[in-house]
Amino acid sequence: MVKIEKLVYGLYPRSERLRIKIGRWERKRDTFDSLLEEISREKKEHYALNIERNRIDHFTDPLSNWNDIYRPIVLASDGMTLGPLRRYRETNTFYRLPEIRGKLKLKEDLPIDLPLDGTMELPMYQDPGLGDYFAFLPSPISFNRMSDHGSYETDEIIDGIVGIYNSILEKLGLDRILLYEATGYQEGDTLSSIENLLQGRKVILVSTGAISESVFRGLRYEFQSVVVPDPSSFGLSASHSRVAGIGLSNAFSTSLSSEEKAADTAIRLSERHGVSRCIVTHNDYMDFLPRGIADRKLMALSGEA
Amino acid sequence: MKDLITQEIGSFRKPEYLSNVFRKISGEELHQLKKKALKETLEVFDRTGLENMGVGGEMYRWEMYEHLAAGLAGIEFYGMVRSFDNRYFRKGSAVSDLRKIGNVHLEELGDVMALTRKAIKVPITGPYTMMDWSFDDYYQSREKLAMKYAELINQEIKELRDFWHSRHNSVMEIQIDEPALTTRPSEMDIGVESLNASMEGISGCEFSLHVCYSTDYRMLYRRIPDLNFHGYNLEFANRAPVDPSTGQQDITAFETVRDFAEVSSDRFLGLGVNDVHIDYVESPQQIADRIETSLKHIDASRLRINPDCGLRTRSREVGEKKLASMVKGRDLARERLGI
Repeated sequence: MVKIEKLVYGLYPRSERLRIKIGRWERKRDTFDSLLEEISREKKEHYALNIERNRIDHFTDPLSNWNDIYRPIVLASDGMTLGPLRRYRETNTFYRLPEIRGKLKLKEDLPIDLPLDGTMELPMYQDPGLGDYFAFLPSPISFNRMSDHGSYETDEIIDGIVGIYNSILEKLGLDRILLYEATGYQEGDTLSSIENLLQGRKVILVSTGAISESVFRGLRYEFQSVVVPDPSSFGLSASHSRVAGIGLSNAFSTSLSSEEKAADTAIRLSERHGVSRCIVTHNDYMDFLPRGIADRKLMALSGEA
Repeated sequence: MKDLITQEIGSFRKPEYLSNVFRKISGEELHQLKKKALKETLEVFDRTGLENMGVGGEMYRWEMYEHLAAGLAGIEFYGMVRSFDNRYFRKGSAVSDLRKIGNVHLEELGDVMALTRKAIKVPITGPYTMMDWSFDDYYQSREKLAMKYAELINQEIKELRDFWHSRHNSVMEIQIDEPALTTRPSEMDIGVESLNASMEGISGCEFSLHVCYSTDYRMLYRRIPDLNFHGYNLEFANRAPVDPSTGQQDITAFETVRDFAEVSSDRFLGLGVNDVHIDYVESPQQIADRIETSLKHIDASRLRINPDCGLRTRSREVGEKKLASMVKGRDLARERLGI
């Protein structure tokens, strides 16, 4: 009997109400305090309506205050700044290019758990204090790949980002993280380069692109789960996870057909690979969808739609 | 035709009396406000000395994707999707076979033709971008969806062309907007095929292609021999950084006009000389320098002058200043070069 567990991670679409509120704040027609209140309310609602009601087993903050997956990290750090808008992979979404311009470290004396006036991106998370909650962080490997390096080498940048993440997690007292790999792995990529971030922590790695055995080479750590983007990579997940994981809900389609078939597909794959537990989730974060569709997809994933 | 003509390239910021109610009212009430905004925007363009008025800043369109998609049966809108930061657009989903339920550009074109005697250029969102910006729950094939959009755009253009020629003897200018064209290098064939299908069998029109937000124009340049366009309106200014405090500019990007000229000996180039993402107003001298640099690589008879993209990203006041400076810069370049 295979136990299916559900995971919801990453940027979740903002409600119309929050979108309007942020617009009003940006035009200086609303106060910062009022915006923070609305963000907090949005997150609480998400935990109650989308996570608890749908019996989601593992989850991250909905990141309703993040404008893109790198921005809060850049704002909280020394050694990098926000550059121009860049296309986010092959989507019609854009992000501010992190520009590496110095030694990377978390800003000293930054109260990472408190609002920073003028930017809504901090605090990064609102811990619901319930369930199997993970801190969402973009993987240092794709962070490096999607940044402007300046004169800095890949190793220096990855080490710097790992250091920043360690500081954030220590300050916030968090030891469960979800690492989101935005780009597929390329030749030469290795997870051992971020081992210092993994040790002693419970980590879910979500891969949205190509992944192969070679990225695990030399790694002395076992992931809680390696979530792979398609059935053909499921064997890798089964080999390197305590709980296998797969992204079966299509975050780029408004149809609910992928969610309706997800549990059956996961059971079939698990049986074939001899695993007893399987995490089922979406194949990318849900922010590429309209809010109403994302909500319905979560319900469908839970068998409620 | 005169050399170095100045042209509008797309959208211009709407007056608040229109933008505040655009989605709240409809019918004749909305039409009258659009027409008022169009008239005022054409007056702005006139003041700047602009020669080709486009369609007066796209006052009849909320947004380039939705404008066309809303005129199609088979598209369902489920809500807003993020473009960047807190900017969102209504992304449609193809849920059944698409078909036209009217012509979404005719009312606008009729009013523009009635309000100006200057040159007009009608922008229409292209098939690849329409496909890329849609969800596809029906065709399950990016190529099929792009080709379907191409078929419908082709019909739309034929209707516009017939309307135009019922009132004018001149060639009609159509600009196909394809900001997404170079997003996926592996799909350039779909882009080329669907664009050519959009124009297939249509005479009496001059077609130009506008591509912006491209990280690499060389990908486009390589396919110019396969594309049936008469010209290309492209962005260069946002690749040419200016230090606003000193006015110093790096115009290396304008040297890349050479790459365009090398692959295309007979197509015109609409040169983007104003960055639409910054409020800084490029001076006539800076504009003239950009044009002069480009003219080292392309003949003046094949060069037109425009902003990088639509100026809706800036206030109307800044937009007017940028256009006025662009025209003065063009005049200065002509004077310097004796054109």
